[in-house]
Amino acid sequence: MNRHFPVLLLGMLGLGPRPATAQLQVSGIRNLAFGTVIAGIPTTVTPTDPSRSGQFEFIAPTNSTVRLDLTLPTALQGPSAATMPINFGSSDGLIVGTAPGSVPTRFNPKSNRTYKLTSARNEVFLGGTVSPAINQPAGSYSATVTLTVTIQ
Amino acid sequence: MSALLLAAACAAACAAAVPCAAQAVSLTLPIDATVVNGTMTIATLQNLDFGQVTGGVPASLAPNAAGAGAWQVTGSPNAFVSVSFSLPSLLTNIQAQPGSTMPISFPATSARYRRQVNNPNGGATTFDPNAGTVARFGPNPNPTLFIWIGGQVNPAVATKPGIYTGTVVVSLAYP
Amino acid sequence: MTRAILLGLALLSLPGRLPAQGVLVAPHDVIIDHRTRSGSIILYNPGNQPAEVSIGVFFGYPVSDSSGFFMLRTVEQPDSTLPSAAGWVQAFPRRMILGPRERQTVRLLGRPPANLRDGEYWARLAITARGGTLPVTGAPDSGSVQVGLSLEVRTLIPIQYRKGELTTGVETSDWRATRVGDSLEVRGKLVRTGTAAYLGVVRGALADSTGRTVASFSSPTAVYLNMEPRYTVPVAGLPAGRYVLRVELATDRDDLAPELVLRAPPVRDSLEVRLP
Repeated sequence: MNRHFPVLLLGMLGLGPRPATAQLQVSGIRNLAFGTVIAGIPTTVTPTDPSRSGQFEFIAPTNSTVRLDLTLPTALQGPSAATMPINFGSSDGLIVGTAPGSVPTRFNPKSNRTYKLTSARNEVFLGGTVSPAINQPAGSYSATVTLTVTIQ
Repeated sequence: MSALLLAAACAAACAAAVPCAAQAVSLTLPIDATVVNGTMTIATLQNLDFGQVTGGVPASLAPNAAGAGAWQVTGSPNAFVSVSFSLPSLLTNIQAQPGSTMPISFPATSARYRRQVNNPNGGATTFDPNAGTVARFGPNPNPTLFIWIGGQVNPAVATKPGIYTGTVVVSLAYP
Repeated sequence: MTRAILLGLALLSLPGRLPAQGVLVAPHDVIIDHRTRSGSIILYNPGNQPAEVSIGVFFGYPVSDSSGFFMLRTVEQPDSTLPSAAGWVQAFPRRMILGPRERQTVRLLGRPPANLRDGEYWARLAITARGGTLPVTGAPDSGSVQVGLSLEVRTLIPIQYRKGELTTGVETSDWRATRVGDSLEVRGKLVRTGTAAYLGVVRGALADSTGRTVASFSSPTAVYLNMEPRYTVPVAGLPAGRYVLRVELATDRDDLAPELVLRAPPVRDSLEVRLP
C-alpha cells in the first residue's frame, strides 16, 4: 500500500459534504425603487429597468436545480397607516446567469419556479406596478420582498 | 493501484455515504416609493369654434353654446384657485391672404365655471373673462372644475376669405 | 356687400371635440431647503398628443381683494423689502416636448446670494403647455391651407425657499358672517406670524342650539402676509334662529408631504350667527 494512503484518506474524509451556507448564498444588490410616483397615476418598473428594478444575486453549484420562491407584498405602507396597492405581473420576474451565453428568462414572480442553473452566479430581477389613489396621502411608502432559493 | 486513483475512490465513497440535505436560503429586499400629491391638471376639452360667419354680421357664441371653448381642471379637493385669461383682440387670417384680421371681444357674461359637473347650464357661475375669477375645486372624490368661454366676432363687410385664428391662454394659480 | 365666407375660426383647435389635452403638474407647491438648494416637480402628459411645455419663474404671493377673493399679487421688479427668490431659482429643463403618457422631472436649483439671511423666500413657477398642430380643412377658394393652432394652458404654483430654522403661525380676528341667498358668507382677518408662510387648512362648522353640526366648510389655505378671505357655508333649508360657527385653522395638510409642512398649534375661534 502506498505509504501516503492514510494521509490521503484523512484528506478525503475532510472533504466530505460542505456546509449549506458554503454551497448556496443569496445577497441583495438593489431595492425595488419606484421613486417619485404621482397620486392617481399607476407607475410601473420593469424587471429590465437598469436602476429601479429589484435585484438579488445567488450563488449555487453549476448544473444544480433550484427553486425560486418570492414572498410578495400586496401593498406598501405609508404615513398615518396609509397603504398603496402593488401588483406583480406574470412577466415581472427575470432570472439570468452570469456565464457567457446565459439566456435571460422571464417568470411569474407570484408562482414558484424551478430553474436548471448554467452558471454558479445568477441574478434575479423584479419589477412591479404601484397604483396610488387620486387622494393618496403624500409621503414615503415601503414594503419588503423575500426571495427564497432552494437547491433541489 | 495508484495513489491518485485510490484517493478518488475514497472521495466518491465518502460522498455517497453522507447524502446532501436540501438547502434553502432566504433574503429580504426593501421596496420603496414616494408619493407626491397635490397635482393640478388643466385639459382642453373643446375648442372655441364660431363656424361659418358672414361679413358685416357680428356673430356671438354664448359660453353654454355647442361651439364654446371648454376646459377641465383637476386639483386639490375644495381648494380655491384663481382663474385668469389672456385674450386676443384680433384674429389673424393665416391663409392665402396674410395680414387680414378680424376683431374679437369677450363680453362680461361670456365665461362660466362649475364645480364637478361638466354642464354649463343649471348651476354654473357666470363671470367676466377679462377680469378673471376665483373658482373652487370640488370635494373628493371628484376634485374637478369646468370652465367655458364664448365670445363675439365682428367681421367687416369686406372681410377676406380664409381661416382666422388666435390664442387664448387660461391661467390657474394656487394660493 | 356681404359675402358668405367660409371661415373656420379655430381659436383653440379645430371645430368639435378634442381629445382632452393638458399637462399634469405635481406637486402643486414646491418647498426647497437651503441645505440642498434643489427641488423638483413632475410633469405628466395624460393625453394622446405631444405637448410643448415651457417653464418660467416670477415673483408673486397670494392676497385677498376687497371682496375676500384670493388673487395673486405679482411684482415685476421686487425690491429688497420683498422676500423674492425669483431672481435666483432656475428650472431645468425650461422647454421640452412631452410625448403621450410621458413624464418628465423638472429640477429646480437655487443659487441665492452669498449673504442670504435666514428666512423664507418666495417665487412662482409658471408651467405653460401648448398642444400640437392639428390638421385643417381648406377654404374652397384658397387651395391647400395650413392652420397653426395654439392651445395654451398655464399652471402657476408656489415655490418656498427656506433657509435656517423657521416658524409659522396665524392670528385670527374679526370673524363675521352674513347670509347671502342660500349661503352664509364668512370672513375673518388672518395675520401670519413667525418667519414663514402659513400653509394649512381652514375648517368651519355651524352648529345649532343643540350643538349638532348642520353645515360645514373646509378649504386649504395659505397666509403669506395678511389676508381677509371669504368662505361660504351652505345654509339652504336651515330654520331661522341662533347658531354657533366654530372656525379652526390647522397645519394638517394631506396634499403636501408631511415632512415639508411647518407645524403650528391649531387656532380656533367662534361666533354667534343668527339666520333670518
